Amino acid sequence: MKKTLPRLGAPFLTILFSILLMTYVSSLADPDLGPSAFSLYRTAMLLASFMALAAFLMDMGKGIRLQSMILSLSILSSCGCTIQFLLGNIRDHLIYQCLFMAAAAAVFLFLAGRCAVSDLLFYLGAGSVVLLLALNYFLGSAPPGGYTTARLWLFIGGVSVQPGEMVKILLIFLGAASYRRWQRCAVSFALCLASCLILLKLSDMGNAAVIFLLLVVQVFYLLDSWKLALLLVAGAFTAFAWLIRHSAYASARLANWGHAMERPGGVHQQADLLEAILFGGLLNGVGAGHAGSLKSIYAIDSDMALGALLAVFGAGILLIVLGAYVILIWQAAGNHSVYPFSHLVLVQASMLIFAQVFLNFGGSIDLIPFTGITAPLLSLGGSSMVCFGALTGMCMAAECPILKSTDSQVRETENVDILSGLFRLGRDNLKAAVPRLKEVLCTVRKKDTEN
Amino acid sequence: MHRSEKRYRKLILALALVLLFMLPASLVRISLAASQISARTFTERTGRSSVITDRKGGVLSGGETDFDSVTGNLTGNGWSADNTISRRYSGKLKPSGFNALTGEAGLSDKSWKSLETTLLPIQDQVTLKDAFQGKRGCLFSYNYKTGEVYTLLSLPSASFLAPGEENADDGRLLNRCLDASYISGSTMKVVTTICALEQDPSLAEAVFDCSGRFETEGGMDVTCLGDKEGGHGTHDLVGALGVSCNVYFAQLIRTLNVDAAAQTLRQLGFNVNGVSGSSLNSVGKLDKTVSSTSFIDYKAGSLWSLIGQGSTQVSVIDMAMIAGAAAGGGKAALPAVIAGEATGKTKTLYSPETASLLSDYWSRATKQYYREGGKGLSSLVDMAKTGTAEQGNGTVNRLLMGVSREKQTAFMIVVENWQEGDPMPADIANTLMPLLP
Repeated sequence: MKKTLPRLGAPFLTILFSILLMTYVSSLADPDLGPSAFSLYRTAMLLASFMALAAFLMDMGKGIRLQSMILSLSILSSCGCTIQFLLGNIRDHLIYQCLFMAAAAAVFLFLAGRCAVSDLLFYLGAGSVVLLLALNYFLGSAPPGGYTTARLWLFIGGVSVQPGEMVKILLIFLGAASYRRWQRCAVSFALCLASCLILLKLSDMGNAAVIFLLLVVQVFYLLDSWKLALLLVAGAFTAFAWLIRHSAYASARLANWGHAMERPGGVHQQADLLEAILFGGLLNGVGAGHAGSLKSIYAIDSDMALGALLAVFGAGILLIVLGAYVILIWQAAGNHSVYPFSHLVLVQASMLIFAQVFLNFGGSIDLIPFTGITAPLLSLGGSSMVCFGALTGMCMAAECPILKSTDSQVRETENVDILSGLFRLGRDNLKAAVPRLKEVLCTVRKKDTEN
Repeated sequence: MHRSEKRYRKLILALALVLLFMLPASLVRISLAASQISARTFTERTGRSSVITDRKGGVLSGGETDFDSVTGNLTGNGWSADNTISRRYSGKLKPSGFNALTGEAGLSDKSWKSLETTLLPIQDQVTLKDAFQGKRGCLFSYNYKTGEVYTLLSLPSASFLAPGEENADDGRLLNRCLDASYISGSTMKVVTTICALEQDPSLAEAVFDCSGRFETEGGMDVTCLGDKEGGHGTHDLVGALGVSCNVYFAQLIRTLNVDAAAQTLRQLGFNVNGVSGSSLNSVGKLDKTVSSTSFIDYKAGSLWSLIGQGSTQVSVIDMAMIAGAAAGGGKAALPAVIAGEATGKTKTLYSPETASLLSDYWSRATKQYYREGGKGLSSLVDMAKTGTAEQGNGTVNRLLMGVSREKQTAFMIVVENWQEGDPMPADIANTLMPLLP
């Protein structure tokens, strides 16, 4: 314990530091920057991503993979801050980044060292999912403006929240806690399916797809049956085909797929974005000074944020951004945790990050049907930032060294209480410090008397 | 150790690889979009555009001087109208040298293109526009041998980008030659004559008596309006075409076979009773309206349709082609407005015998009644037929279709809502003739 805990505290400080640093660097990306300063800034970004890659390569094969993960997060955070700064949303974005860190810390502290979940916690989680879904279903409404009919938002005292984002996190937790607990498995699967259907009913195709992927992973892992998972996927495709035939909303989205440049049905955002990226070129970009012209594109700061980054910096920056996401996901593959709970948390979290990036960016440039999901750390939005913070916390908690030991004393059902551990560490250090202090004082006194 | 661990690790690696694969896939998608950008987008983003020129290289659209008040509804430059050169020939107007790698920086001055049309020099078109003296209407003229379109004038005309004109409701954004059809009026009598000659060439010699009224079974008698009491008297085809005798043509039509007449009309490009034959639907890539008429027998209203006042709606392009074929041995070239598209490819509208008979009688009628009869039509016009179409709301459109052999040109002119003192289509034709190449 004494050896491992300081190694867990350090990453947090590093993340905090690097995000603050990158945010500061981002704030230097003034819209009036000349071309040379602009390219200098881009070079700095490129260097940072090379560092992340180097750290990643050095990490490979080692137990702890936090360094490259942190660098990746920093790069993404920096990219997010830059584009939101240029779009004029930096104040809100920084607040959301604080929420991100708070969520990451909270989830990390909750999950680090945890290898099992009590019934109370499990059913508390399940109850929260039901409550959130009910709130969303009965009180959810579409944002003003009439651009989308998806009823995903709760408006509470001027603040809008997307309960769907929180549901995803809770479902990961529930799924992970269901290993070899058949009753819990049933509850978890049922809730996944119910969330999926309710979100579809609310026209939130993106989150429904993401949750469906979670369900597939859970079935694949918990029942240890690829046949069943395959059956599920086949069933989903049938249901999807049925949905396309019977839902005007879904079929319109699918019909528009691949035809964005023709501006089908007056939908301009993807075409405008693709044009902005094209006119910027692969290497040049339209430049920071012209970022303001992007603001006319609908949802440019949320759904289209990654595209906006490409337009400003040139499509080449995609290499950096996608690389950072890949490194983040690749971490999970190297995890050697011995506990199914942390395994399952990690694999679902990775799946979620993958799905968000894939659906967001693929949709925004018309590679896949557009779903309007946010890009982690780049898009403006409190709920999605909290969600991604929780995912980060999950990934880091799974890296907690204690979970990797095969120490026979740590049994599968026994949790390591990280908070009291930290407290104990402090107390032990203090206890150790007192005799040391006494010792030092004695030496000083001895020297005094000798003199 | 959980036994799914290996599988799960493979799963995560697969996810990461899919994400990596998105990199080339995205770049391909973005490059693909480069070929889908419209010419208008280039203009919007760079403030520059390729130009559309007349046959002499004078800039109609995209240059420094704006001629949208003459050809704006043909050249176009906006979202609202799809049937314009800038939309339909977008591919030819896109600057060259644009790619996803260099973006806007790759566009140089030399990238912008020039699309040449076969239209008359812009100064001549301005002269023609002035000849309308502010009246609404249209003027289509083209070379019936080569297919080169000389004018596709539609007035009023406007710029799509001019403030307040985007939503104008007087049709200034539509090109009437392409997008409108008109009640044919007496110009239909040329078509009726063709139907008759196709069935029986000896009908060219037919003589009928006009007493001012032709009674039909179901009421709606055919009358010759505005003429002296007692009608036109006895006359042949030359006289009937010259004075536009309704009663003569009513009797001529009654001798014809209904189905055969419908067949001839379809061959001429008409949609008859909802069934179209060999209709011409486009001029190059530009859509055009199709002429239409309906009749089931030769009673009452149906009879009027073939005389030109009933349900008959004609496209001025169709009518000019029908006129041109009279001088072209029954064949008329397909019209083309973009230089290089005018290949001289022809469409057979009726038989050479009919064409020769028609041009013979029609020329004589034109000479006798339009040139020497005091209507002052230019001697360059060999065949012409006027028309007056009643709009039902008390207003009339004046029409003129004609052919000039010397200039190899067929034309159709419409002056809408004609009132005393307004220019006659013949005046506009006289203005047109010397301007033709």
